[in-house]
Amino acid sequence: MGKTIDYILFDLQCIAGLISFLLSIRLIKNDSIPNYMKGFFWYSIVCMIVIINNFIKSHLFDNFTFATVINNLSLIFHYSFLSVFIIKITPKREEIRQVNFFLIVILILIIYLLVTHNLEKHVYQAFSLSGFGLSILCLIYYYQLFNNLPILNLRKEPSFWIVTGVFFCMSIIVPSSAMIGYLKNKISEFNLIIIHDIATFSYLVMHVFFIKAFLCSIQQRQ
Amino acid sequence: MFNSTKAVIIFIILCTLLISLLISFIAFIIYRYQQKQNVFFKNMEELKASHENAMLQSQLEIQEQTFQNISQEIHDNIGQKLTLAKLHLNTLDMEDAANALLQIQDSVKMIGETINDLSDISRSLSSEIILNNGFIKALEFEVNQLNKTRLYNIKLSVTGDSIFMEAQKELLLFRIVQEALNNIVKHAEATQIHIRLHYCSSELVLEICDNGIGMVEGANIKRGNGFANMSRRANMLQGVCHVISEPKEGTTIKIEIPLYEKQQEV
Repeated sequence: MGKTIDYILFDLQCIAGLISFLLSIRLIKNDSIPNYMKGFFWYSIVCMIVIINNFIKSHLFDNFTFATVINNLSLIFHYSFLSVFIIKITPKREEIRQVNFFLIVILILIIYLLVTHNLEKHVYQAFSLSGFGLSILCLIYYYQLFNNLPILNLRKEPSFWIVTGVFFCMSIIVPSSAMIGYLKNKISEFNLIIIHDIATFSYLVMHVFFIKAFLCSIQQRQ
Repeated sequence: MFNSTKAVIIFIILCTLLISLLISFIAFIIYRYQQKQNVFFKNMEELKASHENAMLQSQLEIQEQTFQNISQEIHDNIGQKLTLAKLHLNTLDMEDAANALLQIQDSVKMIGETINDLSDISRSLSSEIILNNGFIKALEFEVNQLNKTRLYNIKLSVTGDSIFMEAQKELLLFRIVQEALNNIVKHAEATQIHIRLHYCSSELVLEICDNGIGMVEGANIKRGNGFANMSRRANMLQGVCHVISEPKEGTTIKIEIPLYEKQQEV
């Protein structure tokens, strides 16, 4: 049963990722959308590559260890891109320059963990650490949002939905990745899959938020 | 195995709680942000209304001052000239043809001067010159008018890249200069006046210097209303007005106006 839920959630995640990718293609050609949303197009491409990669592993070749290597390595891109992206969209980002140092330290730690571990297996500590860094950054975004002029319409603000999606996902990834790393050898595969399902669900929700952000951009343009 | 399964169940419950918390968190953020936004827009509306009120009040004051100026000008200058012209024409002695002709010529000259004076007053008090030609042209006109009196050596210098501001702003700025010049004419006993306009990247610095008697403590009160008017008008333009003066060393009025709208912090 656990495996079925896992497949359903993963397929839904693939569909959400695909929709998000298609919307980003639709938006890239328009000059009237915010520049940061154009930058997000490249992130959607990488997300799509990772999703295809996972799809091959999940549905075609179960022993496709190269997929895990790509997953681990893509973490550096995910973390770097989202960090720079959130800093760019944070109101009055010049006030939070010291955060850059914190983010670079975490990036170095992530690279260190990836280098010192077998890349053919998920390096959960690195995932947990990147989630921690991004969650803190999202909280800083919210803090800056409230400490500046409230001139945005949050319900129609793409940057808000992206940050919320990332925050939602990362807040779940931090404990789940940390616990999978800890419980991996102590529980049955069924239970492990359930925890994994929660993480997959959080990725699904993140992609849904990205779709919402792209739809907001289209609405803004209209 | 049991302990591990229990741990997983606890973990799932925690995750569910976390998801619920996050959904509540998003709803809370949107709600709080909207509350803040409502307060912000309400404050902005109040600020706008108070600004409009101040503008209206200032316009009324300017209008009142304009009427006073017209009245004073008619009484002191035009009235005198026309009376003199009338006197000349009333005392015409047609038998003394040469003298009569001279009197008529004088009268015609005086009436001509009066017409010119009326035209100058009209142009000086009308905002059309600013609306049509901009602030600097209006200032040049004002400087020429004062130069014509030959009582003052008045200079105007403009530095930096001049830009056109909103007509309402330029008019307000022009009235400040008029008020300053009026103060100099009435109280300063100056012979030299220098108006400097410097356009910086983000602000306009306007300086009006004279070599008059300057100000002592008591005179400050006497001239206080004019300075208060200038200061208030500068504030309406989100700027500041400084008065630098020493007795017998002239007065400098320095006005700094931002060229672009400042964001209102709430």
